[in-house]
Amino acid sequence: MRSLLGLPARPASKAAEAPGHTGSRSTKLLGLALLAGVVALCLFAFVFSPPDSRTGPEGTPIGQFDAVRIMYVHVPSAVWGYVGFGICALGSAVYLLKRSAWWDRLAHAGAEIGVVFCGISILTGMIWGRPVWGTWWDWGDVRLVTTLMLSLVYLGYLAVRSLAAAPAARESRSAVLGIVGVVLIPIVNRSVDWWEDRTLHQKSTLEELRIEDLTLFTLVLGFLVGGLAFAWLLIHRFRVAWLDAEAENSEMLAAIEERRSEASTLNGTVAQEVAGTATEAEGTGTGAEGAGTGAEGAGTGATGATGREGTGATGRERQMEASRR
Amino acid sequence: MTHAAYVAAAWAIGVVGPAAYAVVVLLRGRRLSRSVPASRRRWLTTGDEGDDGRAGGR
Repeated sequence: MRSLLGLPARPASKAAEAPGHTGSRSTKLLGLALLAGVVALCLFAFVFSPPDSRTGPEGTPIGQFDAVRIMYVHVPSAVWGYVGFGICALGSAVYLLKRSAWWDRLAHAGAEIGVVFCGISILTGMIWGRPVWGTWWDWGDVRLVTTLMLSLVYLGYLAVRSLAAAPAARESRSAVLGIVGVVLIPIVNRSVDWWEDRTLHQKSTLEELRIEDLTLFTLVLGFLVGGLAFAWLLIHRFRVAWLDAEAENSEMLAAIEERRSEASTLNGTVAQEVAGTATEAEGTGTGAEGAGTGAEGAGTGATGATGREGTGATGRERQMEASRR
Repeated sequence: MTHAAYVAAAWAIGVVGPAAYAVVVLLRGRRLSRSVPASRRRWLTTGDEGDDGRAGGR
């Protein structure tokens, strides 16, 4: 923020005091609110809200019964998973326009959290489907299959990000994938309307389940708690992505600095030897030839070593020849 | 409670999954923080600086 506002850099003493983690005051408050929200959600989901039980046409009880409690986890995780993918697409689009690292890191964080939430949604949906539909999975259900495809696309996005490539190329490729993948979200959402006869899903959870009162409140609470978890994870994951890039840059800079120091040491040694060779060669009256060999040796590391050895041997031979004379 | 095992399994995944992921993210952040100078961790600042996690451009 200082750099954005044009303020001077933070004093080194304060920088040194910075703790080694990705937390901050705001994330701690967010974390506390999240914990309180999880406790409240558990109370409402298991204690206060009733099971889904209605009377059927023949007077028999129908409904999901206690399996409806899975909905308080399943539906919010699906929605927040879509939000994660949406953030990834937004970040990718802005990155391609502005080439801003900030948006790229945000896209990365959004995709990873989206995959986590979408994975939870798929797993909890499977567990819910077994007692209610009588099956864990149905390959003919378009919503199930398109949701799986959506998760796989963003897993591919994460795989592209982990490829060994130049950072700019890697970021551009993954950004394109991040934008392409988001096209699946409206397909997933509308699939129950477009292919009515090819899905086990209800059109709208809120309408079909006829939820009301405490059940509706608990579901809304589930959305809120899911949102808090999403925000907390997004902030931390963004900071980790930023640290990751910084660490990569630091390693690269350290490697460049190491090569530079090696090169300067080598150049200094070569220069001393060249100077010594030139002095020796001057004594024998063939200085120009000796210095020329040494200078060639200083050009590259391997050639330099060979050149120095050659020059040294030639110098010694000439010295011995001169003493013999 | 009907379907108790299914409900327990789904809630375990729904709560433990993000919690485990959060722990992984936190530990990774701690590990990476050691290799990055404090001056480059812009969110870890005093009150006069933004706390929004902005990293800025490269």
